Formats: sequence, C-alpha cells, structure tokens
Amino acid sequence: MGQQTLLEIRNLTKVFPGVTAVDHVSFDIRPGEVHVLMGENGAGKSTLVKMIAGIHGIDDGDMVLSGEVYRPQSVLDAQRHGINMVHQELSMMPNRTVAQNIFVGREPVKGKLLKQVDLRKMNEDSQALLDRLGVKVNAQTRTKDLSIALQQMVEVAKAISTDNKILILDEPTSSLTTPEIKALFEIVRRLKEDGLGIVYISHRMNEIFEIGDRITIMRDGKYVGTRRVKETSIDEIINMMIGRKLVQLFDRTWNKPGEILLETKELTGLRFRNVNIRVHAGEIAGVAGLVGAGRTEVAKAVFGVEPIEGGQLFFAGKEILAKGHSPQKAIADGISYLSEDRKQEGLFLEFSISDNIVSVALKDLFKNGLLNPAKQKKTADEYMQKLSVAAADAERTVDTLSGGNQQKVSLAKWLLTRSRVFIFDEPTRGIDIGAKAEIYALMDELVRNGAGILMISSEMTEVCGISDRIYAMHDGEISGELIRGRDTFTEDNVLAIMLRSGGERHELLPDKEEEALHDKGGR
Amino acid sequence: MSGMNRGKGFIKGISGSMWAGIGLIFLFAVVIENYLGARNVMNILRNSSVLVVVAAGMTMIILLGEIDMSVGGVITIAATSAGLYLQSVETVTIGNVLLGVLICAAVGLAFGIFNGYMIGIRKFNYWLVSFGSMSMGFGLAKGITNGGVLSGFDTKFRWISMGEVLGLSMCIVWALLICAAVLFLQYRTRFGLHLYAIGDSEACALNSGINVRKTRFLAYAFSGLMAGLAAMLLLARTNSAGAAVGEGYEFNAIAAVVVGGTAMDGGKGGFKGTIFGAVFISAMKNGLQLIGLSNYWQQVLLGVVIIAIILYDVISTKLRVKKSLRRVYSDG
Repeated sequence: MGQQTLLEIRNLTKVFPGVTAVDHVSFDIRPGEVHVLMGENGAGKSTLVKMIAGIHGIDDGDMVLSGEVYRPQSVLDAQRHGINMVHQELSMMPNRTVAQNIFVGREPVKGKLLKQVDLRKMNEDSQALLDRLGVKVNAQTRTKDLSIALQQMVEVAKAISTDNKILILDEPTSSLTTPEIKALFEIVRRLKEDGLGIVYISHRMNEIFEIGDRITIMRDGKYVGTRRVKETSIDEIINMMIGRKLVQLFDRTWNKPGEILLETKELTGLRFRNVNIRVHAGEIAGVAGLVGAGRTEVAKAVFGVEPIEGGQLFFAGKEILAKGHSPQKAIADGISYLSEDRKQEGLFLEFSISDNIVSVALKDLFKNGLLNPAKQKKTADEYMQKLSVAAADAERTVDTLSGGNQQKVSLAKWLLTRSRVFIFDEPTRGIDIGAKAEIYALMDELVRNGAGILMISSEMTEVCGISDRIYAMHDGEISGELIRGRDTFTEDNVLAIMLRSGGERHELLPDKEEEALHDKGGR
Repeated sequence: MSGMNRGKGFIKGISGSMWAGIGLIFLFAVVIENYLGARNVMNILRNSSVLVVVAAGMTMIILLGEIDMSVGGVITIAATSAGLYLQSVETVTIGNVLLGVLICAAVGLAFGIFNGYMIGIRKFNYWLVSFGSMSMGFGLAKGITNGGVLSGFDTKFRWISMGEVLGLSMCIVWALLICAAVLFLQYRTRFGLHLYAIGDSEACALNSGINVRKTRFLAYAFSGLMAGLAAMLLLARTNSAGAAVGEGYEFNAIAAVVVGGTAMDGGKGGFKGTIFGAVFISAMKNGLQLIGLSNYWQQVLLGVVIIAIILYDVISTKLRVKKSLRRVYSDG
C-alpha cells in the first residue's frame, strides 16, 4: 500500500550466555498502527522490545527510525528519540506522587541560578496529561494508593508525556479487568490517531483482534512472519507460534479420583475469603483467575505462609489448623508448594543443583543429622536423571541453568519429600515447550500414583488441558467451578466463571453427587 | 482541598515517634525547673547544631536506602587536621581562620568523594567502604596526634561557634543556614527528588533515565562535606580536637534521621523530620544530664528510647501495610 515506515528493524540479534534470545529478526513498524508481537514464553519478544527501548544492547543488526540510523545507547537515549516502553511489571515509585512518577528523570526546573524544580508546573502538566487521556486520577496522589489498573494508566501517561514516536506496551492487560482493559484501549486508539506506532505484546487472542492492525509472530528467538489482523485467524497464529513440532502437549491419563486429600472450608485470609476447594487423590485441580485475584495467597495460606483468619483446612480428612500452621508443619503433613517465583522463592540460586534438590528433605535424608556426601550425590544424580535436568553435573550452580531446568530442580526438591498434595503455582511460566511437556508428564505421573495436585495457572490452554476440575477465583473469592465430565472445559467457559464477580457464593457439591459424577466416568 | 490534605499529612507526619518525643520533652519540662527556659533551650539548640549538620548528609544517604558509617571518623580527622594547622601558626589571623575552615571542609569532602567514588561509581558495598573510611579517619587522627588531645585554639577561630549575632550563637546561625540550604536541595532540586526516586525504586529510576551512579556519588560527597563542616563547628565549640572527638556521631546521626521518620530502606521521609530528630535527641540528652544521670547511663537510656520509638514506627507501619493488603468487601 506504499505506507511509510516509522521504524525498520533489520537482522536484530541478541545473544545471552548459552542462548540466542533474538536471532536476526526483521520487520517494520508504521505510524498509526498497533503492531502486535506474539509468541510463546521465551520466544524473545521481551528481549526484542527491550533492545528497541535501549535497555539491552544490540549484538548484531540495525534499526532505522524515520530514515535515520537508530542505535540507542541507553533508556534515556531511546526516550530522546521518542521511544518509550511500559513494562510488564509495574515500574513505579510507590511512595512518590503520580506527578513525580510521570516526570521522574526530567523534572521541569525554573530559575537560571538555583534551578529549582517547578513542582507546580509538574503537577499541572501531569494533571492536564491525565485529563487528556481520560484517566481520573489526581496527580498529587501517592502512587501506592492507586489500584493496579490506575497505576498502569499512569505508566502509559508517563511513557507518552514526552514527544513520542513509538510506544511499547509489554503485556499491559495482564492484571486488568475487562472495564479497565476497555479504558486502556480507548487510550491506545487515541494515541494511534495521533500517529504513534504502538508495539503491543499480548497473549490474549481476543485483545489482539480488537486492537491490533498487524501481528508479527516470533518463535525461539526467530522471526516467523507478519500478518494483517483482518486477514488472519486464530488457528493460523497458533500454528505460527507453536510450529509443527508440537505433537501432544497435554497427555493425561484420567484416573478415578480417590479420597479427598485437601479440603478447605470457608478459608479466609487477608486477601481471600470463604474459599471452598477440594483436591482428590489422583486428580489435578486447576485454579484460574486474574493476577491479584488471591490465588497465590490461598495456596500460600494452605502451605502455612500467609496468615489464615478463619475457616478450616483438612488434610486427608484431618483438620490441621487447630494447632497452628507453618510451612514446617505443612511439609511434615505432606504438602508441597512450588512457588510461582522460582528465582526469589523457589531456589537457592547460588547453590548447586545437588544442594537445592536435597534442601527440603534434609531431615528425612540424613537421619542422624550429619550430611552424607555419597548419599546426597546418589540422590541428586537419581533425581536429575529422573527429571532429565540438562546440566553437566549436579555440582553446577542453579543460576547457570535455563528456566526449564531450574523449574525441574525445584520440582525435584519437592518430589523428594514424598508429599501427597502438591501445590504448583504457575508451574510452566517462562519455560519452553519441550520442558513444559515434560512437566505435564511428570504431573500426570504424580496423580497416577495417588497424589493430588492443586495447580494455579494463568495459561488457559494449560488449565483446560490437564485439569480434572477447575476453580476460578475473582477478587478473593471462588467464583465458580467446572468439573470434567459435567462441564465442558473451554477458554470461554472458564472466563465466564472467572469474571463472574461476587454475589453467588460457591458451595462445594455434596460428596454423594461428586461420587455419582465420578462413577458416571464421562472422562 | 490540597491545603486540607497538607494539614492532615503534617499531623500524620508528626504522629508516632514525634509524639513520643514531644511527650518526653513535656515530662522533662514538668520535672526539671527551667528546662524550657530561654537559656536551656538555647543550650539544647547549640548542642543540636553539630548533630543536625552531620544528620543532613546522613539523611540523603538513608533516603537512598544506605548508611554512611564514616561520618564520625571523618569529623575526627577533619577537626584534628584543622586543629594541628591552627596550633602551628603563632599569631592567628583571619586568613588562618579561613584556611582552617577550608581544611575542615576539604578533608570532609575528600573522604566523601572517596566514598562516593567507591560506592556510587564503582558499586562497592556501602557498609564495607564506609566502615573502611571510618577506620581510616579515626586511625589517621590517632596517628598524627599520637593519641593525644589538642586544645586551646585562638578566639578568632572559636568565634565560628562561640560568637553571637543578634543574640544567637554562631553555631546556631551556621546550623540554620545549612538547614535552609539542605531543605532547598532536598525538596526543591532535581538532585533531591532523584534521591527519593532511587531509594523508592532503583529500577524505576534507571528506567527513567536518572544517572543513578552520579546521584549516589554526589550524595556521599555531600555527606562528607557535611561531616567536615560539623568538624569545624565542633572544633570551635569544644576547643579541643583528638582521636575521639567525632566518636558516636555516626550513631547519633542515624538516630536523628530515623527518629525523624526517614525509613531505613529508603525513599520515605526527609530532612524536615531529621531536624526534629536532632533537636529531640539533644533535648533528651540535656534532660537526662540535668536529672543527674551519668554519661554512661544516658547512653543506655538513649538507646532504649530510640529502639522504643523505632519499634513503635515499625509496628504501626506493619499494621498499616496489613490493613492496605486486606481486601475491602462491601458487605463485610
């Protein structure tokens, strides 16, 4: 169509130790378009946009911005060229005002000699900007007093407060509710009309078709192709994202559920209340919900980390809250918790694989309280092999491993405890497809051998693909339940119960009805 | 509306530790005759003048979420250097006095620049570097004085602290001038705002294009300079210098900052609170002295009170955080 080009990306490459994160990627961004970047986790999208935004250096290739070579030396340099990025994780100063957040790093000053910061101008300009974007926030509010959604809007406002050519949005809706997303899209459309080029990373198909103009798909760091949104389909996009290598990701053997292993009755804590969930032996119970819905808090409460203020918790029919609760007790009872944040909470990053694997089971493994190096080595080797951890030997430190292998090590750690209930919080976040399939297979093996799994996941395909039952959480409460055999597991159905707010209280089915369901065996 | 907010914020700002401080001072006022009399108040202010200057630098470092342990050592070596110089001249002229002032400032600044370079630019751990500087400061002072004490300086130099202008001691005048400059620097300049930014979220500051290294460097350099100026006031006021003159100032400065409401993990608080904290600590020491408590027991009690105040703040912050974490349900 002879449309002009705003930013041309040519053979952009970024190499990290052991992996080529972005591998000779070329495409272009036009003014006034929303250009969606898609790909599985680890496909290199984030790395690519960080190169455009001046956060990562460029190892090879080049970029042309409005006809001139563009090679950002720093974030500041990128901003001077009119390129700004809104990060996936909020990057705000919680104790500062909205205005200070918007203008941080380039506060307006007055007076030649003293160069004092013009606080009034800062506040007024910020307010004008927020008003223009239709964001109903007082610029002098402290940022931490705003909801996540409003903070997100402030970040957008901050990013576009300079003369802008390109705005990069990295999964901006991952923690927003539907009306909040609508408000954000309204802003995006206005910016589009102003002629900005918008790079938009998202995993949500419906969003892409609503807001996107063109889609570029990446896989394993490589460019796969670019399509016009109007001329493509979900199926085509998924095929391009996954490639042909995917044979069978979710390979479940459906078991007849056994006794109830884990059950909560009206469990209430700081960020959740009246939670009734149930995990049977031999089944995977998925928990869907938006980030911030309280899923992780429930999991951590069951594991004894988050405080519990009311309700009951049963493990294999026994009430276990009566005499206080702690992770030590939970582990002794047979509950494992695989954290969603393996780097901060799940692993000792600078310890060896071997030390990490035995870290939870130390007491069981070395009965007399003395370490036995031979036994440790044997155990570590056994579990490394069992989970096919790809590393030269068990003495490597964990921080040198890829995400998938790190996750396997943290899994191994819990397998060694011989728990009966495993709580997996985002077990496949940020790992590649191959490792994902292995982890699903392992989960399947666990439940086949009589364990119960409670899996928190934000990936719909995963929740629908391997769960026996699905709980949805919304705003701290269980908003609905789907049971395989009774309900159909589709993304739409899960979304429907997920976004059903409050009001209807979720009650567990009476035991008999559940049994009847299982006996029907419509699995 | 914003005026109302500000009023509310002010009340909120002085709650917690400050109310405890005000309560204690009230207690002293009841127990001790003339505690709040003009003479004693002036005395308290004179005592707090040195502390508030040191604490001004410390505030900036703590706003970054770090600590400058070197200030006591820096005060000692700066005061000792200037003291040695002043004793070496036969008849002290105004020029000699100015040079003495300059020596204090220069020694302080030199240490500050060293700390700033190592911590800010080269990114060494702030504990190790500032402890090292502290040790160097005390050690150098001991070395050049052979562990002895210098005293008896010319009155021209001592005028810096002991002189009077409009009925105010010069050391108070100095403190007021420095406080005004620091208040401006911290609340009204980009440098000041960037200190908060880095302390609040270093990642965000970096992503926003703030030169974090340079800002940190300047903060430590400033803290060193403040320690140098404090050394000048101290030398002129106590009329003595030696290996122990600055001892304990790092602790008192940290206490003044924290009692004044600046959070140890950075990004919250500011110099306004520190001024209060410095005056409060001096008032307390003064009160304990007047009650007749020995120096040693003063130290113990000071520690207890400071821990109690900080504990109170920590607990109330925790409760507030817990409250903000709790979801607000419409029906319950």
